[in-house]
Amino acid sequence: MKKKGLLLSLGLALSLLIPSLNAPQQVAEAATAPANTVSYYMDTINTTTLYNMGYSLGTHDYNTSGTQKTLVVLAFGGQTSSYGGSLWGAADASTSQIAAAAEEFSHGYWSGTRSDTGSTVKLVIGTNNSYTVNYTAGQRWSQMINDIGAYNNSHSYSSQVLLYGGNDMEMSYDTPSATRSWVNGYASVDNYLYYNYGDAGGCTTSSTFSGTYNGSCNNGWTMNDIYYISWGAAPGQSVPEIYNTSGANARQWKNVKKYARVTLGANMIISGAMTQYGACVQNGGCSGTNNTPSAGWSQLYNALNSDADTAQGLAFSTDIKWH
Amino acid sequence: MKKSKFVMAAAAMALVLAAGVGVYNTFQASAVDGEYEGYPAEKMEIVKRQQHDQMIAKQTAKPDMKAPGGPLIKQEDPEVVPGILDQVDDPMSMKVINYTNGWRGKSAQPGRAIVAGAGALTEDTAQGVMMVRMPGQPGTLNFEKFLTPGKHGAVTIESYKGMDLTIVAQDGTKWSFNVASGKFTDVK
Repeated sequence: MKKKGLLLSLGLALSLLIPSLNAPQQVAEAATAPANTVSYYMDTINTTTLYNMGYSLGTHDYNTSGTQKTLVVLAFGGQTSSYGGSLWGAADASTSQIAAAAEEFSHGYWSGTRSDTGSTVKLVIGTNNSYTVNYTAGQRWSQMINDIGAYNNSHSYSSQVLLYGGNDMEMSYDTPSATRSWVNGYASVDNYLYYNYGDAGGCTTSSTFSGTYNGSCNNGWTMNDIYYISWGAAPGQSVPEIYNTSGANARQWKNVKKYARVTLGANMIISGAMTQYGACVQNGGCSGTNNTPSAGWSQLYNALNSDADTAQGLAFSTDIKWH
Repeated sequence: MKKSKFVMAAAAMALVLAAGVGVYNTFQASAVDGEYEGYPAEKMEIVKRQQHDQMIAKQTAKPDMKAPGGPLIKQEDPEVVPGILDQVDDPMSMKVINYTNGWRGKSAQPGRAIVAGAGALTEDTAQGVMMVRMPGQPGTLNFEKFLTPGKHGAVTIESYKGMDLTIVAQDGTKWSFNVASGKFTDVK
């Protein structure tokens, strides 16, 4: 009788445990946009400025109840011939100068969180594919990210600052071949993942795209190229630009994911949505491309979850502006 | 006796299975942490490395290390050196302006530059345009686009003196463009 009881108990335990093995990998979250963070086009590498930016965010997270998990992009412009950042024309900055700036942002965030040791920020140190775009440039950017990571590890900042490379990879900036080379260079020495926060310009916006073929996009790019730089490459992830108020950008990214799923059998995961509402306000407006953060996130979430092949949760929302 | 051994063996096997499933679920909960569900092995390898570093950093961090004290690394912005730029890096306008070249100059704020871009509208390539990005109050930037008088094609910055840029259109028409005022003056 005791043995029967033991067996019944074991059977019950197994019946409770085994279904979790078969649970779907992607479960859609509730369709409420998360609070957005602010990302920045950076025209400075002044470490006091960067420390204060990080400290301000850390203080915000400290003062916000619960544990915060956010994502912030610091975009330092295209890579110069010496592989640093253009700072958008302000002055060229070397990779070591950008690294120092990122390290002090990390320091500031870590200090600002005070007794809140659970909140984390995903810190994305970004460039774009408009200047020097080749294998060596990707490798040098990746090495810079590794150096920042080593510094943050040695100062304990990495307990709360999760580091990533970044690249605003746009169809109109450079060719797919050059951009793939950058990605391969980054991957050759990667200790950290990167986020592509670029576009899928010119890809189909059709809501009935079958995903059975590799669709063409602008400037010689294809969906396969976008898939590769955003997920196919080992360190690749994406927080794509969802700027267009019509929802066109969201449909383009949904279709890239649909192509990946149907044709390649790959489950490409998109991490969040980037908008440029803040930059548009500073710029005096951008007609038709000034989605609010919640609108951009909702468009992407709804587009992805309109199709069982592309359904997924969407963790992050960030809005970029000029520093 | 035989039946008893069978029952014990079945129970032992069930325990092993249950333990295995438990380990699997523990791995799912700790290493994957929800966010990384569906990540392939090559990405998870990088994620796990980062999580390991995070754990070590948590263990070595001491609360008093968090005392606010400003940056440990002192670094000022490089001095802005005025000059003509071969390329213009402008994420906001690169889809509406085809830039030919640009210029940067010093602003009143140390380390912050004024940037001007020259080119033509993408939707009307005969229409020349100058874009000016200028630091305003600390922490702000002002943007303005100035269309050339008449449609003479894309403009290029040839030279500069102070904030006066000499620009030339595709058809050879020349102006002096003042960056501060946004005014075009004919150059004979």
